[in-house]
Amino acid sequence: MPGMNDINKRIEDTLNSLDGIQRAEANPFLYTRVQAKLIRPKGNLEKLAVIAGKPAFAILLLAIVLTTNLMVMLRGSAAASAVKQEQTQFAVADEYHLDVPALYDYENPEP
Amino acid sequence: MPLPDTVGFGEFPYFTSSLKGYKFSVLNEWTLIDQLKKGDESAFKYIVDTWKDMVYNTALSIVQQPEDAEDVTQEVFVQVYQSIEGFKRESKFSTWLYRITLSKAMDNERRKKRKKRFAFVKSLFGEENEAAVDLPDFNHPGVTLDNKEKAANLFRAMQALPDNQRIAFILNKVEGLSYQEISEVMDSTVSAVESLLHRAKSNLRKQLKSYYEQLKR
Repeated sequence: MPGMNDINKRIEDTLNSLDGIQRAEANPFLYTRVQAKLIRPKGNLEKLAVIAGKPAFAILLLAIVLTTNLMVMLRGSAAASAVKQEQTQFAVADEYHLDVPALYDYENPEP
Repeated sequence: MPLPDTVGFGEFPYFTSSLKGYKFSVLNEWTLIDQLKKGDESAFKYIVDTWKDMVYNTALSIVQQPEDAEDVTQEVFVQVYQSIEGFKRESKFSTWLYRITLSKAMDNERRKKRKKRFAFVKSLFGEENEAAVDLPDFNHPGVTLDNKEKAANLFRAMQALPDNQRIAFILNKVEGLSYQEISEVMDSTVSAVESLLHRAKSNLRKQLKSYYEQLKR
């Protein structure tokens, strides 16, 4: 098909269009600009952005958050278990009248 | 095929009259790097002057905007100066330089894509923002006059390639590197590079075919 042949030829010509390409030339004052960048001190915000942008920082932050959550959960469950144990002890003491007598009861025995 | 950077031994030219005034008299790669590690300004200037076109040309072919390419080029040489202690001489200096250039250029591309996505999301929420403007076609200054239009179509099609294919294609077609040299830059094998280039051309053909068919309608 002439149409397709034409398109195929255009495609191949396009793929070969970089033949004989010359290198683009950089700014002749590039060295001066690089020197200026090296001399310019980085601001605190820029330094922080550089650190915060690193994957290691994000992983460390995630690890801290997860560890903190885990610790809070474990402490919470330990506290809940201690409260439950204390409640059970009170219930048993109450049932069998094992509670410690008050000072009032010693000083004022029942007639 | 771009002209080679230098002639002579190693990758650097023989000492010529244009280099008078530099402290060192013997130009070989390791001597230059040793000088740079000691903070020798003239060694750094020589490196910048010798390699700036290579770095700029590679960056420009990826980012396709002269201002961005200049920023990338400056960042590359800043990194060279700051990281030269980390250069272990396991590869050629040019290989290391290509890697830094490609890394910085691709970072620039990812930043641009993130900005576009963010702008798109903002527009969904009806936030006022600058209208997205389609940039004009990129015209590489080194392309011959009769190939300008076709090359612009090719550079546009390259933007849709996966990163590795794009890098391999640019190093081969724009920088004129051999498969062996490309494999060293990409830390790969020659057969892997061949495969990348084959797939790149196949993908480019598909892109160009749909573009030219659309033009015909």
